[in-house]
Amino acid sequence: MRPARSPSSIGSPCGRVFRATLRPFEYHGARTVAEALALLARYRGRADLLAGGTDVVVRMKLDRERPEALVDIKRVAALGGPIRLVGGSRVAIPPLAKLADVASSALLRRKLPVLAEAASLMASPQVRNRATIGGNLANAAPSADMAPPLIALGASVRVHSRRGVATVPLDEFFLGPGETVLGRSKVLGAILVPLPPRGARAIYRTHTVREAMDISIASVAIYVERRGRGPILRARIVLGAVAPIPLRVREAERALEGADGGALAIAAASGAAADAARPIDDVRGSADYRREIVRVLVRRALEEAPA
Amino acid sequence: MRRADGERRAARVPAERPVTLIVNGVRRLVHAPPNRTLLDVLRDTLGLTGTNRGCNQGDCGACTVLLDGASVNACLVLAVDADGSDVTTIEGLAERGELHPLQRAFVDEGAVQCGYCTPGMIVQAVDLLRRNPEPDEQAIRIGIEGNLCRCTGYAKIVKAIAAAARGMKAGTARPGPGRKPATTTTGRKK
Repeated sequence: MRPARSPSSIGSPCGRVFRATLRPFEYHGARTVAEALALLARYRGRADLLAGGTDVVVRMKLDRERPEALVDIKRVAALGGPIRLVGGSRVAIPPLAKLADVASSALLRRKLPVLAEAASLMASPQVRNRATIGGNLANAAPSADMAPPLIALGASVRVHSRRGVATVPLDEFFLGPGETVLGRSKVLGAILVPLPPRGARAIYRTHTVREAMDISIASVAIYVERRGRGPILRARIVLGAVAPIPLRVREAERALEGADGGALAIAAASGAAADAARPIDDVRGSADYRREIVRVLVRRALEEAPA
Repeated sequence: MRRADGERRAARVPAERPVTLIVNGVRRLVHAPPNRTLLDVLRDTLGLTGTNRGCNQGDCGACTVLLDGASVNACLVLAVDADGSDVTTIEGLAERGELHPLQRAFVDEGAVQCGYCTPGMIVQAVDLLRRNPEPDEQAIRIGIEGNLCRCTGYAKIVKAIAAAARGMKAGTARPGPGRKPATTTTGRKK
């Protein structure tokens, strides 16, 4: 069925609806987390949160999302502020930190460079100036670039609900494409990232056709902890864009832990990652191609990992 | 005056809200319903049509403006969300009849074909040079990765931005809007 044509809704060449004028909705600027939660409760699942808007406004233009209201949380002070060290052992990233801030943060560049790199690869300068790290996670695109490196680093997130604040490991946060534990009633709080010990390496590799404004065909984040040339003490392998959610591959991690990080262990881990991937065929690549890319990206990242 | 699309929700069209913007240094009060973008307001309400509407979904960069000094896609910013902000469009770059050094360089280098991407390219280049006054070619290319030129005239655009950066560094001009009057950069090349 072709979408009905009207001055504000036209079919694009690929058959998608595109709305030059957004459908009407109410706009509320929240000042506190409590206010945002109360507004979400009032609309009972029919309101979306608005931060940078670079995802939700696009989805509304594509008519994939028809919220009755947008609750703007950009000016909620408790969700913003600087990226900072907490207690010397972890970094707290406010959900409203813009991707440009993550990419240029001196603290992250020094302590968690993989996060700054992942952010700098995303979208365009204009989008990075506006989009927030919290939005990238809360929108839960299977290809969201911040998720795999954060999960690989063992990050957790604060989740605000009307009952209080909970801390959720990021690898339990995603439920499906566009779905998280937030539902449409909770608000994402700070992202907490433990500082890796000496001798730990985290690497994020993504495969795209173009270097700019592209979405990952497949991506891989690895985290490897070892002392000197000793055996691998801990490993985390996380895949992006090849499953409904960012996918942690424990079989691949087990293939590495206790191993020496040599070619055999790397082959076992990259094979386990390719086996675990559950990619779809789409315009960016076939499922088989994506699985093969996963194998190659995991192998290359692991070959790079030892210092 | 664009009706909120006459469809099923026409019965409860959200009210217009007052939105105050400082556009190119001038305070403007407009009224916009929540579903209008900053791009709609700039072009259709304020008549500032230098900011172009391209893809209208944040991919092409034709609508790039500076919002509180940082480049954004105006098509993705709700007008109500920009309330109280400072907006600089292509129209705000020249000062006292003198082109901004980036505008001058685009002219001098012939970095214009059909011209549709040009305002967005130049505004984005202002953001780039503010963050990195001495970009190498790679940094310039990354700086304009969100601006598409369908004529594919990137080579001269990159040259123009590099030339403007050199001119601005040489002190013949200042980066960014709202500073002291820009003077022309180097002599005209052919």
